[in-house]
Amino acid sequence: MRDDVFRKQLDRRTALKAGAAGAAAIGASRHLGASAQDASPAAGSGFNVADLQVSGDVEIEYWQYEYASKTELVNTLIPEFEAANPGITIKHVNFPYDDFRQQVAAAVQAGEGPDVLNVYFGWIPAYVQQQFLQPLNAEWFPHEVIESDFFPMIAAGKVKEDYYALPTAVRTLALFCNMDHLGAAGKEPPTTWDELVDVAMATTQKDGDNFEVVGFTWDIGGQGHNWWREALIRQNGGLPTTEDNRTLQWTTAEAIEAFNYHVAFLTEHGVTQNGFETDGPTAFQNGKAALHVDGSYRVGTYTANAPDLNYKVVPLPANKDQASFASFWANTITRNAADGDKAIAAAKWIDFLASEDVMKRWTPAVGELPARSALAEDPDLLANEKVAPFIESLPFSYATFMVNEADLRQAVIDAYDNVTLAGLDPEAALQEAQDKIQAQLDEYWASLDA
Amino acid sequence: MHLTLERRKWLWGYAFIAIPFLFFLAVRIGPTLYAFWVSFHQWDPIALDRPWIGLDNYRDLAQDKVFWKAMRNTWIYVLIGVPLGLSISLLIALGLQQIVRWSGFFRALYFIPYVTSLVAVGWVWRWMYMPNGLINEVLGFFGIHGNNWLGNPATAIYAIIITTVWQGLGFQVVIFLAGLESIPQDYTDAAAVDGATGWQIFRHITIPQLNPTIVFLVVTGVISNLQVFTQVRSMSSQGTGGPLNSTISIVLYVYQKAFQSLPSKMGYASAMTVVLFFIILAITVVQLKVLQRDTD
Repeated sequence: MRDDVFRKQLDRRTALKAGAAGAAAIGASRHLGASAQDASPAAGSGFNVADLQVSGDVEIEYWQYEYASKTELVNTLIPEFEAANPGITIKHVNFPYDDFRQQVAAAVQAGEGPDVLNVYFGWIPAYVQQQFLQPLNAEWFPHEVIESDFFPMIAAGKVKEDYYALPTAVRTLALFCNMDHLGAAGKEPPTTWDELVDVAMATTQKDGDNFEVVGFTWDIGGQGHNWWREALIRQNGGLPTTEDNRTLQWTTAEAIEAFNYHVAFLTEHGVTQNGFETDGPTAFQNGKAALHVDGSYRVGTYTANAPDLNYKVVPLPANKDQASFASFWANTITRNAADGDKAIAAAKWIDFLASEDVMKRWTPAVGELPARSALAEDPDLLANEKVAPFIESLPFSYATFMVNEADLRQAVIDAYDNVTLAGLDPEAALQEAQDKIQAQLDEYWASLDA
Repeated sequence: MHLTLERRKWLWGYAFIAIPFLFFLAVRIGPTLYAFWVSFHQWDPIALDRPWIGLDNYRDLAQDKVFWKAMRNTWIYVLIGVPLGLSISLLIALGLQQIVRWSGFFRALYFIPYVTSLVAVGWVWRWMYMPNGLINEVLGFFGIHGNNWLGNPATAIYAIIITTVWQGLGFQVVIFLAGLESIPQDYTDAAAVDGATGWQIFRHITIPQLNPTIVFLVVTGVISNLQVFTQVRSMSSQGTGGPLNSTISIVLYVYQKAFQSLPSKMGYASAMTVVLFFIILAITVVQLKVLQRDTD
């Protein structure tokens, strides 16, 4: 029996890997053209920074938000880096996550601030527009190496012809399945859109009009909006934006169909409820939801808050294609380290943080995923069966290019609310959201092109 | 220089006032004037230049649907929240005044919500309001079909107002009690001897005598409701004043534009605070003039 289950899992995993490799090839060819596919990873980090030398002692400030396991890991990495790079000192500055943008803004306004900043990918385009970030030197960090060595979500760190960021900490979306509820309904974790509907309907428990257990969480403001934008649209054969990140494609037939598929869970299938247990992650944590789409960081939350929760994680159910949403925190170099020794020190530091060795230590210590494609099949990282599905999803996970993260998120949430609460036609609601965000994109590119 | 005792006293007085005055100037008036200045710029703290754009922010504001929605909502918070809170707290204060035994206990009980953290209160009420929460369960017991109180654009703002009123009761009750205690017993005794009914006493003695108290509570209540933020941030769907901006307040919108939006629209947000500043100023002046009548 145990062997059986094990073999099943093994088969599944091999199948998924094959799928993943295929998707990676597709992703790579999309971004690079065929030539880069056979680029073999160079020794070390693959970047040309090892030979760079600072001319004298230099100190750079590294800023990241306060998160115990990250802070601790970086504090142990700094002495290692400093020992390997004499003359460079790293000053590690932390501040509360909630104040992130205020703190950075206040420091910059006062003429201070970081040389190397750890930022959320969605803020990169805005910081670039503000001329706060420096492009990565293309001689030190060749584009073909970035594109071949990192997963496709790295594209969100590119503005026009330049890359601005090297990620270390990645998150992807996958499907959380409460195995008690699935077991009671005699269902396996779903792998396709249709199965997702089927399992959600089979696991929903109601007492009259009231939900006891929702089959599937309604979590638009959580990950729902990302799920539609980067996973459902792509899975349905569409693309959320054009390749150059200039034009939204939220109102294509594929996008509208994907949107309707999602909305139907609430409006047609009767398997979920808005605000149930306040939000999706809480409902799943309390054992009140059978299925829930969420990010890899949630595994850590559930391990801490609900150690007895019997759940399993599987890659997002697919339709025509497989796709998932990726978000990441990345290290960027600010205008404070534009040239001279600071630029060299900053380049060496972000290269070190994005090295394979650091990433391998990052995942077990912090719970965030690696960004290098070489680690997609790392047996140590895949050993954790709750984290493995997220890593397996990396090759087909995409990050959204956002010029104003808060507004983009709100626009998509409003589209859902307009349809489910205000009875607006889906196409009209999506058109309204698209018009609003497209106007921001147009303004953004106009200012950069000027 | 020779100073008389009188003059020395006078100097000391001003010296003592000078310190809080400077403090007030530095932390209140200074930043307020600075916000005026910022509101005439396209102001992003991180950008290299912050161009002067004159009244453009104000012009954009006039055409911003969300701003007008926030303005409308803010007035709902004020026009429903303040009278509701005042009438309930006056009723409770009148009741509490009658209680002799355990009066300290009951007064403390009503005051507790006021000293509880706004965010904690907001979350507890969220749990009560959720579709499978306490309120719907109680309603279900009576056969009434529940509602997603905070998830429904038609009810969300009133759900938040109820919480705000509940939380503010303690403070208002205490102030009312102090006002009630300060009404000379002679007045009510005299009226009772003249044959006035309870209602007549309430209408013609209690209310006029409470006038300064009511003025104070109306002014502070209006100002705090015009600035409502924390409750909306912790109770509205996603904390963004949703669903569909049905609960967004001006201060929450200011916060979003200044601190949550990236690129930060500090100039735009400052323009909103300037508008709010003048609204509050105007209302306060009018209230003090209209409501502050001497009683005799």
